[in-house]
Parts: sequence; structure tokens; C-alpha cells
Amino acid sequence: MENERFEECMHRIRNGDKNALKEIYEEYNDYIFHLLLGITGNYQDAEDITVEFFIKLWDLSDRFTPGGGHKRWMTVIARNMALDYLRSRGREVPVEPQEMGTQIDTDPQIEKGYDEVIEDMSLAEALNRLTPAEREVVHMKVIGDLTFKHIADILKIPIGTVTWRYRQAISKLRRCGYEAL
Amino acid sequence: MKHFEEEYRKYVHENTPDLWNRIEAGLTEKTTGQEQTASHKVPDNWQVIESRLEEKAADPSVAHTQKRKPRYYLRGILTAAAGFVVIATAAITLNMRQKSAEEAKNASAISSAEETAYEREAEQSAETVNSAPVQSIKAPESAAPAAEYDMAEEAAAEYDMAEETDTGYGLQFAPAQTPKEIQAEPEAVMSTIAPVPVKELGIALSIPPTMTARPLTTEEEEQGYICEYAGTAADGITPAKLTIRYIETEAETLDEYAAILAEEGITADREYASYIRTDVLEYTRETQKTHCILYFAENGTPVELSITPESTDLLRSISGYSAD
Repeated sequence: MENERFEECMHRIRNGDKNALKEIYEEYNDYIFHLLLGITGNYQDAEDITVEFFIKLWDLSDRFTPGGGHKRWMTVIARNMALDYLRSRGREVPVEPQEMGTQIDTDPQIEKGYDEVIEDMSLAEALNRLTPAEREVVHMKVIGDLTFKHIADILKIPIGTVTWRYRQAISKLRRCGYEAL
Repeated sequence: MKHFEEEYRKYVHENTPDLWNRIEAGLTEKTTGQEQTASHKVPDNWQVIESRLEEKAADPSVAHTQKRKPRYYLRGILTAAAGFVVIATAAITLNMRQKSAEEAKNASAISSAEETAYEREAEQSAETVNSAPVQSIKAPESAAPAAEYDMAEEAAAEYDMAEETDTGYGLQFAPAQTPKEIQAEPEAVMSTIAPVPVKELGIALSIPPTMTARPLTTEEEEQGYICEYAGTAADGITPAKLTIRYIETEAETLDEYAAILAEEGITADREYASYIRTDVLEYTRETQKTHCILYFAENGTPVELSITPESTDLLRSISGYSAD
């Protein structure tokens, strides 16, 4: 959805038009739900937060400022809701790898440059080969259509780390029989 | 090979529940915008959010993030400098270490004439990428026939991923739109370097004019130094320095070097990153107030780019960035 279209929908929402919210829902339900599923790791939680998210979008329509890039705006809200939810439930909030000292997620085979197809997997199996952090970057890039800069801003990590994760993910997917993005 | 993006979109769509009925049931009726203005109606959730914002404003961790902002610009600078290092690989692999001092002098002369766009703030970086002046030094033709080979153009092709990122930094390595190309005097260069097996070698730099090259001593060259740029002291600001050098180590991979750093107790800000499709290791030598990027050149030699000392003022002296 283009920014102009989104802004028009938000304007209609401010006037109480539920069809405008449904239009945004139909465009972004897939993206938001799987973004939240990736963070919470729980299907039911992701459903609940997705519902809350769109209700919040309805309630906060007055606070939306046009021109700021709606995808990034929505992503930040959705992620914060998920992280708040995890904290409120006393569950562990995902920690960015670079904050973990020496532990850095690296596939040794990728390090050595082994990039050929080794297995023909289903997509679900291939996705399971990705770390949650890699999967989140891929999801934001492919489904959210966000730039690396925006992803780095949202995740509050260096852009180099974002591109690193993206490359790692591409290499893993290629080895599972999926062509690069 | 299956097409990932296509399959992933399909997978995501098929595995997303329809939640519209639940959402619709949770919506409250809205008054029109005019009515809201008249009654100064505030959404219920906003009061909660407002109070959270106030809490966050008093949160010391938020202040910490703001203090770290200059480091964010530092990463931009290092990204730019890393771009330079990638290009400089050609020189490394061609055993051109001995000519670094000569090149540095040439680059210095060039840089003083250039105007830069580095004073722009981070959010204007897309423009910076397109307009940043690039210094281009061309080595002379060698005897070996080969297709014209412009590293700057190749860098532009390689740069598509980084460019897409729309990075918001004050300093960027950027492919030149209209680079000012300086043809080095063949005699001057050939007197110090051996012929190289390519017709032409281009090195693109994005070094701000506030930094000039310092000729290396023989001892420094023997220690692996490739080049060093430094600002000039002014108004109480200590000059910043950007150095590129070979590292003497037994490490053959980033992981191995990370382990060596760990043994030396250098763990601050250590993380892997990827700049212009080159995998690098970043770290901070806290005792020297130096932030570094290390990568392995094609010949397996580890090359370290460091910026020192690390401070906001010094960073500004490099990038031209001003908080004002």
C-alpha cells in the first residue's frame, strides 16, 4: 500500500470509517501477524496481539502523522506491543545477538563458503534453519518491503548487522533449495 | 531452485488467521474529527501512552541511547571507510604496499580542493550518497593488455545493496556521479612501484578535506601500515586519525581473530557486520579509544581500519557533522 493510500485510510478512520481499517487490515494482516509470531513464538499470543494492534491503529488514528513512512511506523508499534506483552507475562524478551558478548550466530558452513544446495526442503523446514533474528530481517524485507536502513532503525542495530543477517539467511535458504531473494 | 520470495508470500498468506471479526468487535464508535476537536476528546489509550512516554523520558537507559548517537555516526564513517578498504584490496593483492606514501601525498593534494557534502545530517544521507565527492586516483597503464578496469565503477555496481539501505550517515563511501579524476604522473608513480597486471587501477576515496594523508615512515610500512589520514588540531580539538594497516596474526578467519581479541580482553562493541557484501569484524580497543573494522583481503591478509581517538568532537572533525 502506498503512503498516500494509507494516509487516506487513516483520515477515513478518524471519521469512523471501519472499511478503511479493513482495507489496511487486508493489506497488512499477513505481515503483522507473522512479525508478531516471530517475536512471541506462540500462535495464540500472535493472534491476540494482532487484534490489539489493529484496534490500537483505530484508536490512535488521530496521532498518525502523514509523511513519516507508515510501514516503519506500524512495525515499531507492533514490535513494541509484542515486547511489552512478553514482559508483562514475565517471558524472556529476545536479545539482539551483538548484546550477548562473544556469542555470535554464525553458520560455519557459510563461513567456509559452502553455498550449494544440500537438501530440497519444504519452505517451513527451510525457515526453521534460520535464526529468529535472521527470519525477522527476511520477513521485514520481503513481506514488509522495508529498506535495510529502516530495519536497522526499527531493530536499533547497525545496518551492517542487518545486511549480515540477511546474507546469512540467503545463504541458508539457497542451501535448502530456494533461490536468492 | 524454488523462488523463495514467491513461496514465502504464499506461505505467510496461507498461514495467517482471519481476525477481522475479533477486531471489528473491539472497535469503539468514533465521533468525527470536528467533534473531537470541539470536545478535546482524547482516546483512552493515549493517556496511558502519554504516561509511558513521560516514564521513558526519565529512563536513564533512554539518555544512554542519546549519548550513543555520535557512535551511530561513527559507524557511518567506518562504513564509508570500509568501502575504501574493499577497493584498496586491489592494491593489496598487487603488492603495492611500497607506493602508499606516494599515493597518500597525491590524495592529500586532491582532497584539499574538493568540496564535501559531509555537513549534512544523517537523515539527508541519501543525497549524500549521490553527491559525495569521490577522489579518484588512477595508476598508469601497465604493459599488459587488458580491458579497461575502473574500480570505482565496479564499486558502484557492488554498491547497490548498500545504496538501497539509504543509510543516514554524514560520511559515505559512494560511487562517483561525476568524479574528479586526477591522473597521476606516470613517471612519479612508476618510479616507486612495479608494473601491475591490469591496465588501469582506480582507487576511490571519500576522505573529507579536513583530513590529510601523512607519509608513512619505513618502520611503519614494515609494521604493515598502508596509509594514515589525520585532521589538523584547531580550537582545542585534537586531530582525529584514520589508519589502515595489515595485522600480523595467525588468524585465518574472522572467528579466529575474534577469539584472539577475546584472549586479549578486547570484547567491547565486538560484532560481525557486512559492508558492501564484505564480511567484517568490528571492535573497540578501549584503552586506545579506537574503533576498528577488520576484514580479510582476497589474499588472506587481515586488514584493519581504525579510527582514533574515539570521541564526539574528533568524530566531528572527520565527518564535518555538527549537532547544531
